[in-house]
Amino acid sequence: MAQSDTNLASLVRQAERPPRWGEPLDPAMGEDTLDMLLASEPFSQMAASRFPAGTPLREILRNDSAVREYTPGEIVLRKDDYGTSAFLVLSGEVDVVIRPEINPRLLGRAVRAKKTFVARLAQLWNNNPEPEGWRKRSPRASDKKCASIDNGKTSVYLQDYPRIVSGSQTAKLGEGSMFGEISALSRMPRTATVVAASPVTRLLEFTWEGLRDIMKYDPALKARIDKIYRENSLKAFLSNHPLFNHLDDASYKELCDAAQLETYGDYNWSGAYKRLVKDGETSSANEPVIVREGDYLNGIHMIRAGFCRVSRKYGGGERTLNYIGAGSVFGFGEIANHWQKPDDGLQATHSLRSLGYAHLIFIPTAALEKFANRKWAAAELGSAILPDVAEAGLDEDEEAPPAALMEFLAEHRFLNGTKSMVIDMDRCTRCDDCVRACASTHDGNPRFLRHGPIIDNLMIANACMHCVDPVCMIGCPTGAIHRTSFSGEVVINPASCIGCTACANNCPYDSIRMVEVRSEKGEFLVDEEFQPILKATKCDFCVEQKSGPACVNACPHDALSRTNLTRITPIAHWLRKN
Amino acid sequence: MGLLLTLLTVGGLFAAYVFFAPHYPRHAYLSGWVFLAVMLFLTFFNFRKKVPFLRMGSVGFWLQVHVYVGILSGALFFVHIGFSWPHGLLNQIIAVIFAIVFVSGVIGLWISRSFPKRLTVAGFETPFERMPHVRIALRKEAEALILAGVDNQTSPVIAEFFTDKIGLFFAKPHNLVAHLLRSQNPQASHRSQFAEIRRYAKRTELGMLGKLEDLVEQKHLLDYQYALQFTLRAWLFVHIPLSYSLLILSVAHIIVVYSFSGSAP
Repeated sequence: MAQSDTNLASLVRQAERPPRWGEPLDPAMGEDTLDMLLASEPFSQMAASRFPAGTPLREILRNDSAVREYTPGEIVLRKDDYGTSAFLVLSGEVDVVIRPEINPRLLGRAVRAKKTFVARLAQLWNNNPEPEGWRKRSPRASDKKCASIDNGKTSVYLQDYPRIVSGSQTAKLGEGSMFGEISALSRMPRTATVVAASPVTRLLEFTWEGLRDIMKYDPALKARIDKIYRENSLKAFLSNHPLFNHLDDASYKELCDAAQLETYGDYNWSGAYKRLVKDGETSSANEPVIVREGDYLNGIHMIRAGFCRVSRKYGGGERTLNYIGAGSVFGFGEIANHWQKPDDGLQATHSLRSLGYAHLIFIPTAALEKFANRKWAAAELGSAILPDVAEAGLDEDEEAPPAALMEFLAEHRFLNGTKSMVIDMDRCTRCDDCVRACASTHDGNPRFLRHGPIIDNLMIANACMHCVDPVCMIGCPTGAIHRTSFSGEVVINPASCIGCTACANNCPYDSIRMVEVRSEKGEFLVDEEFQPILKATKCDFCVEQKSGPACVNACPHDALSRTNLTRITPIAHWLRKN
Repeated sequence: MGLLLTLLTVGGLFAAYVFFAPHYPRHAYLSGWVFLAVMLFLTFFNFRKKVPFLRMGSVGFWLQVHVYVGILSGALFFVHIGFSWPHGLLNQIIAVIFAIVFVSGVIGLWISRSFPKRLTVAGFETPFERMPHVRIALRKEAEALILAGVDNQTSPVIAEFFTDKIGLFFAKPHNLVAHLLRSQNPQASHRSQFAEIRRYAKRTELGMLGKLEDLVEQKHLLDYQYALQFTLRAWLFVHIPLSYSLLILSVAHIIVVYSFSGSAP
């Protein structure tokens, strides 16, 4: 007995379990700064008693925020970047560049550092011999890294800023204004570039998890953000769509007043979906119907977030023709056709159903007739917004994927994946070279399972699909799981992962694995109760490797592909190639 | 296209050999060094697979090149030995090893192209490393069926049938060769045994026998997957070690040749 205890002791090492706030956003934030924040709006209006003892407001601000100072022309946010932070203007002003947009080349976008040739080669001998060795700590995800008033600064400026924005329409945001919150909370790209405009602009940067916690305990802030969302995101979405991007401010206001926001399913839909899978009820019959085939069409549905299934009656069931996501419009083809041929009926030729979660904007026909860009609509007839959506994006000699494949992708919700691992099982020799390649580039432990649902000869493996809408991020208490700012891959910062398993439980595709971490000597790390210390691991799409994903490069039989399943075109192209 | 290029290259080399050989009686030195270079290049494929993070073209591309150069090496080998069986024990051992490496490569290529489709069609896809766990799970499920029946006073005939004819079937992989040859005999044999035992079973036991037969079918599928996936891996255990042996013996061959050939050109 004593012998086995000794053996156990040699296999493990006690370590401190990583805390929720082990890595503050601004490690240098001082008490004076915190006092200043708590004395200013909106925090001075918040009742401290509403916050639980474990997450008091002061500690949220200490750990999940940073006060940044900007000089004129300094870029705060870039359009199309994925951000994890929201900002509150403490003093000064910022310009939101609406249109025309600033040339992306001028924005000084940070490109993620890739490993050099020597660093890549050194992986042969530098990799920890034990899988999942404890990593050195790295900074938390932020839009501005560690620059703050209490810490040093690194900045990107727009040279000759006044000239660059002289021809652009901008909106000024002053003290007390908030921006960036929608993108941070909805896991969507930034919709505009924001640049500091005052001689000294002081902003408070919140991490999204800090903002989420404050919203949870302060109903006033939640109501304020909901109002901002309705006002700003609706306008931002409509003004970016070619149907309406020609309108002036007054017309936008009228259009926004007429538009209706519709939400189907839970924002965090993975739990409901897992229950459906368990009960074997993932078919279209159990999905909420938004528009039913044959019903009178009284407007168009524009998809703001999530996915919808487009189907037609076939025998006693429904045949899936396509699935459409953010930016797609349903019903416009029929209405446009009705404009040209008023004698034709105005019935929906397809059904539209929500898949999991969908957030839509409904524009009534009257508003559409008044505000739609008919010239653009006429030019676009026959394209993706029309009823023949199944053919969208395909060349003349290409066929849409088989209906069974479409049903399969929709029922498993794979249409969320931008980089899904699709394996042609007719070519795959099950050699696991892809798995070994993944392990050799990631701490000696593969980040995916070569296993998953199969249809015909295609397997969708349990590898992170880098979803359009990564629900795994919703419950992360520390923001360890986040998107890379530009290309949007979903990655985990091992330093701030506390191993709570929230992301792994939320992932509907079983693509996140909890692993037991080890010391550099290979001992398993355990807490004071001898429970293993875990961390979440998943495919990071080899973002640090110049050669791209190792799994694809390592396949000797070209059986493996990382495919965008959010649209049918890439999978149709790949099927044709194979 | 690649195959055509290889055939043309091999044909060209053969024509050059027929034309030049009478003029250069010691051409074996040249072809020997070229052959060594080709073997080193072929072995490099294994190194390429170990460094997926280097930008050196995809492993898929390297495999294609490996296959074509491998075919070329066959032709080069015959040129090198002068289309006659070599003399001397060392040379004969090298020739035999080369033949095994070459043939195992061709077989490996064939099974790599044909087995995956058979595995896909068969169903019951299981990762190779998971197979022992799946086998144990099937065995436990089958044993639980029988044990539940025994508690309810099932006839001893069924228990005996399981002990004598079915129980061991779940213990390890079976019928590997039959599965490789796509023989249906093992499944037919089990179906026949189940048909026979049903004659002696009580009506209440028929449901349990049906479930047991389903488990046996699943085990056959697992064995089928095992047989093919094992073969897809096993050929490499012949091909790769012998390739390294070939390289080592080739170096020995070069040392011997230069030691005893007098004035080499």
